[in-house]
Amino acid sequence: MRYDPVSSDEAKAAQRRISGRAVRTPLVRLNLESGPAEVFLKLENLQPVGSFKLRGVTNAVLQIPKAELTDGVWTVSAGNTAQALAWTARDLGVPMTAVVPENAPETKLANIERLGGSYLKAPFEDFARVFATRSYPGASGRFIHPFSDPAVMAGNATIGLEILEDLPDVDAVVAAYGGGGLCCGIASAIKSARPDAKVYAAEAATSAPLAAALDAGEPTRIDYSLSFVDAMGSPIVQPEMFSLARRLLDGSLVVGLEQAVDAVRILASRNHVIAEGGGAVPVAAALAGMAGRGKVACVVSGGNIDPARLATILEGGVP
Amino acid sequence: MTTTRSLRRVPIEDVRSAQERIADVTLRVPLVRLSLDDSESRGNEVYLKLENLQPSGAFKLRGAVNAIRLADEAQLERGVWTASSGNMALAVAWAARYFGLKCVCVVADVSPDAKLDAIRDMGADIVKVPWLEVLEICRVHRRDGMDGLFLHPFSDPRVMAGNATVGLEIVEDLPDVDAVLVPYGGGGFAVSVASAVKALRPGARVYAAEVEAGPAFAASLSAGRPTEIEHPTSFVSGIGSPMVFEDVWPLARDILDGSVVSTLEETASAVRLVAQRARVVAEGAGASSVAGALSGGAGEGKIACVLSGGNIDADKLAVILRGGVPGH
Repeated sequence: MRYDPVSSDEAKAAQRRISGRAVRTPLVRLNLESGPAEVFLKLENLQPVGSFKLRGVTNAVLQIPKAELTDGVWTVSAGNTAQALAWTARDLGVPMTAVVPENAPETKLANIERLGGSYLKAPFEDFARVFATRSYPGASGRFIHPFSDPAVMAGNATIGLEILEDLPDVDAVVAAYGGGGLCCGIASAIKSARPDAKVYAAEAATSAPLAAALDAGEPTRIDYSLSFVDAMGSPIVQPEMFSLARRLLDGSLVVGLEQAVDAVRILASRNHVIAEGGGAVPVAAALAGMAGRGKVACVVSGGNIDPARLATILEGGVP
Repeated sequence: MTTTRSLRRVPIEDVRSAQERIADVTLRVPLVRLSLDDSESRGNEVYLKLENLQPSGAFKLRGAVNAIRLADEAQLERGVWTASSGNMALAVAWAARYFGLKCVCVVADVSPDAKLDAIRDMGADIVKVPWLEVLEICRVHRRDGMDGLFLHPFSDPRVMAGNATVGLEIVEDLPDVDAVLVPYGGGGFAVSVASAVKALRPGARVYAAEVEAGPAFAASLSAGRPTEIEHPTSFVSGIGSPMVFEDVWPLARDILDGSVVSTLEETASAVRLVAQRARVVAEGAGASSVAGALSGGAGEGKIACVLSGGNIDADKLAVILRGGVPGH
C-alpha cells in the first residue's frame, strides 16, 4: 500500500464531518518569556479523550454506512486510539473492541471499559502483527487502523487546517512521529497551503526510527527502549508511511528524555496543561531551537499520562 | 471608615463591549465537556470553562485588560497597582507588561511562591503585607503611598464587566445551560458572571463555589447578614475569606442562588480529576466549582463550572496527584 498526501478537499470535508464531535482546540502561546522561537501550542490534549486521535477515528467511522456498523468497530491499540474509538462508538451506540497487548497497564484497560468498550488481550507478537494483517480472531465489525488509513490521516489533517486559520504566517509546525499518520496528515494540509512553511517530526532519543530511516534512506530497525514517552516509538517505521513522510516532512527532530520531561513540567507550570511524553516532545524540540526561529506551532498531541509519573516530573524527577 | 456604594448588576451591553475590547489580548477559552462515568455524572452533563488557559493563568486578566483599556492616558502614565492574594496581581503584572506600564502589586504574604515568582518575572514590584491588610485595601479601595491607577480585584465596574465576559461566553457556547458554578473569593467575580448569565438566560441557576476553609458567603447566607467566620489557611489560596464585603453582599444575596461548600478533600479530588480527565492543571479555587458540581450541590442538568485558574505550586499538585491533600 502506498499513500498520497491528503488533498485539501479531503481535509476540508473531514473538518465539516468531525465538527461538533471533536473539539476545535485553541492554539495558545507558550507562556515562556525567553526562548529561541515564538512557540505556540495546539492543545489536542483538550479533546474529550485526551488526544488528537479522536479526529481521525471520528472521520473514518462517520464515513462507514450505518448498516455496516451494526457489528461494531474494532482497532488495535491499548492507548489513545482505543479510547478515541470507544468514545465515538459510544456516541453512535455501536459496540467497540480493542485488541491490546497482554501486558497493557490496567489503567488503560479501565479507560476503555469506562467508555463502554471491550478488549481482547493478545500476545505481543500477535498484537504487533494486526497492524499489517488487519484481522484478529474474535474481533468483529469494521476495523479502524490507528494511523495507516487515508480517512484517519484526513482527520489528522484538520489540525493543520486549524493551525493555518489561527496563525496564517506560521513558520514551522512540529508534531510527534508515532505511526506517522499525524505528521503526514498535518504536513499535507500545511504544505498545500503554505509550501514554504516547515513541517517537522519530533521523536524521543529512546526511540527514533524515523530519524534513522531518513538517514539510511529506507526503513531501518533500531535499538528501542521503552520510556515514559510510550505513545510513540517502535523499532522500525511503517514502510508504507515512510515514503510519504520522506516526501512531506522537513526532517525529524530528536530530543533527549530529560528535555521531554522539562517540557512536560513547563507546560504544566506555565500553561496549566498536562501533556503526555509524546505530546511534549515537539515543545522540547522547539525550545531547543531545532525548529528554527520565528513562529513555531507545536502539536501537544495528547495528555494521557499516569498521575504518579506526572507527580515525579513535577517534583523534578525523570520517570 | 470609608463606605462604598453597593455593587449593581453588570449591564449586558457593558459585557458585550468588554468582550470586544479585550478580544485581542485575552483568550476566548473553550468550554469543554468533562468525561464522567455514569456513577459520577448521575445523568448530569458537566462542562469546564478553562480560564486557567489565560496567559496569566486565571480569568482576572479579562477584568484587568478591560479596566486598563478604559482608563485615561494621563492616569496610566503613573502606572497601575493592585492588592491581591495572587491571581489579580499576576493579571495586572501581565497586562502592565503587555501595555508597557509601571506596576506595583500589594500581595498577601501567604501567596504561593509560584505566583510571587511569576509576578516578579513579569517585571512588577511586589509589596508583601499580611492577608488582613489586603482585605482592608479591598474594603477601602486605597493604601497610603500608592500612586497610579488602582485596579480593584473585584469591586470595580470596569473589572467586573471584563470578568462578566466569562458568563457571556458560557451562554454563547451552551445556550441551554441549567446551572453555573463560580468560585467565590471577594464575590465580585461570582456576581459579574451571574449578571451576564441571568441577563441572557434568566432561568439558569448561578451558585457560589466555596471551600470549608473560609466559606464566608455561605455563613452569611445562613445568618441572613454579613458574618465573620474563621479562615484557616489551606492549599486553596484563591478563595476563602473571614468576611463578605459589604458592597458585594446585597447583590450577591440577590443574584446568586446559593453557595455550594466543598471540603478540602473534595476539592483536592476535583483537582486530580480534571488533571486526569480534562488534562489541565487547576488550582484549588479553580477546582472548587467542579467539586461542587460533582457533590450534587448545583442540582441537575447541564452544569458549567468556571475553572477560574491554574496557579498552584508544583509540589502541592504532586501531592494531590498522588492522592493526598496538601497540608494534611
